[in-house]
Amino acid sequence: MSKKEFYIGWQGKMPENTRKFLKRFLWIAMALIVVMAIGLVFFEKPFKKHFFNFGQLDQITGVYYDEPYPFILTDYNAESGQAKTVLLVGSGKFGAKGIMDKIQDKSGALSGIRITLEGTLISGDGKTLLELTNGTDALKEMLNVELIETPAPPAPENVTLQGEILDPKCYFGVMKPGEGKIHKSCAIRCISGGIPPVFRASEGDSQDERYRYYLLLDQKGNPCNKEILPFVGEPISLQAISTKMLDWDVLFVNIKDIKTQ
Amino acid sequence: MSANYTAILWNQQKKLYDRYMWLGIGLFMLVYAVFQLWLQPSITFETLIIRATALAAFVLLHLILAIGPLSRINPAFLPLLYNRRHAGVSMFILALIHGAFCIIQFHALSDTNPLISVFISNPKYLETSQFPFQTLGFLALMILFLMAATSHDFWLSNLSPAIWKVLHMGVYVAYALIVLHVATGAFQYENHPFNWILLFIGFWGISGLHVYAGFSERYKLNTHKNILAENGFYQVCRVNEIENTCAKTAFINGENIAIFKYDGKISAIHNVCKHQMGPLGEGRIVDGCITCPWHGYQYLPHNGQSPPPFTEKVKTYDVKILEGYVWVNPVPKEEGTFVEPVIIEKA
Repeated sequence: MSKKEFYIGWQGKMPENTRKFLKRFLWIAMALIVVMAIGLVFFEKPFKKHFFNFGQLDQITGVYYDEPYPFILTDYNAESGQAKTVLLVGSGKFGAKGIMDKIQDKSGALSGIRITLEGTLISGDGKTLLELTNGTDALKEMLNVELIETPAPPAPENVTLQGEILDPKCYFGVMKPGEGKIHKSCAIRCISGGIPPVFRASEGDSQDERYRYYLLLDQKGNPCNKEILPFVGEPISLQAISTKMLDWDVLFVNIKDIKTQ
Repeated sequence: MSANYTAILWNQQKKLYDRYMWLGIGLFMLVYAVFQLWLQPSITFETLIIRATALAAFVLLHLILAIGPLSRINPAFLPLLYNRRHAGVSMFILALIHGAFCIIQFHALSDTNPLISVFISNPKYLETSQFPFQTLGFLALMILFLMAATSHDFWLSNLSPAIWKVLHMGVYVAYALIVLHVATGAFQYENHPFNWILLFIGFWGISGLHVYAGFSERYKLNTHKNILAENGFYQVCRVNEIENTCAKTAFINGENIAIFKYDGKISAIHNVCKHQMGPLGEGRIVDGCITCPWHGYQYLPHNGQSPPPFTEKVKTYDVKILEGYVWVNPVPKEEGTFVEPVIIEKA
């Protein structure tokens, strides 16, 4: 600014040299803003290719089971033992148990019955969930009782694993990202609300992002949502007994055997 | 300057200021959104809003904090300071949108009240790596709210400039909380070195500017040349060291004094503007009035009073000229007291 120039905000016009100086400053600032905005996006972690079919209701038919968490078995091939289960979750940060209990209060017990449920699909990395978006209106059809002889689970084995406890609703599609510290509080609320906790263990080195997912249960095979809250959303290691429930790996864990890293 | 309060006082310069400010905010968010949708099309609307508003607010906060020291280092930046309050309120609005979307996204529709959930969902307050960073952001947002809510001149006048200034220094507490919020939160996940380098440059850039401006300010204060003379007067400088319509400042016995030369006369008034404690000594005499460089508040040099209908008053001081030197008595007169200007006799 020229020594003789003096800017006064309430005057109509800005002194010429001040105006020129600020114009140069603005161009530089705008260019920096653009570079910064592009850089911040460019260096972001890519989102996982998980999917939440928001705004679209789909119907799924399968055999319903209550435990350990509400799910339906949609495809089962007795010969090959291949199965496809769809975990059920509620709206918001709630599990499906409350909704399914209310539905069963009206319809009678549904466990082992082939039914059609309507909701919003969530899917990623080979796992599928259905959000019962319309609450107790989710039940569209009751078909027949279907006894399915599922294969005996493999012999349980002791495992030591490293990974993170996630809420599968957010992780497999509703939120991007649905993992790590940035999502920790939300995962805690979701699991506290009854959404089944899932343990994600890395397979291979950390670069290739191949994971194995386990449903977490306590040592007796019961839900342990409240007990594991202190370990949600952070790197942990655990010792547990591993087995399989249809197409889901399952861990029976003693809370004392979970360690933060 | 305004004699009456109006909800928002706009003039041509403020309109221009707001236009360019929102152009910058819009440009940043537009570029960010376009590249985000191009490179990561699966981003959800909520995440896009959360990230774009957070980043825009954080960048704007850096600019707001840089304006003060930049203006001290180079007065050509003073136009950025003139309407800084609108920038502050705009930044708060962006931060509020970010905070509201975060609370809805991460805490609402759950088994706990969303506002309580912010504080209790992650209770690991004693762990550095798992510290609940959202609480830091929430506290910063409360400070920014307090500042935005009291940003109007009504509060400045009713709280008194000194209290208002202390309250608004809270921006530094908010900034520290936000830096920690980002470092212990988002950047724990988005941990690319580019992000950390930006944060580092931002933090040390703001800190460095403040330190540099502080040192240069201290150098400008005329504290070391004063020699006690008779009757409590202190020698400040030679008359011809003061440019016409400008001032020399002196800090004597705790008094911050601006000594102005104008129309062949010398007058001394308190160096601190009544409006936002701006440095009057860095101002000019315009239309016969000392004019504050920050917001253009004016005072008559011989009595320290704002011209009617304005009512601000500052302290005045006795001055004299002896053998080509300006001397000032640092014992202040009552605010608004008339002091006969000293005529500069031509050599």
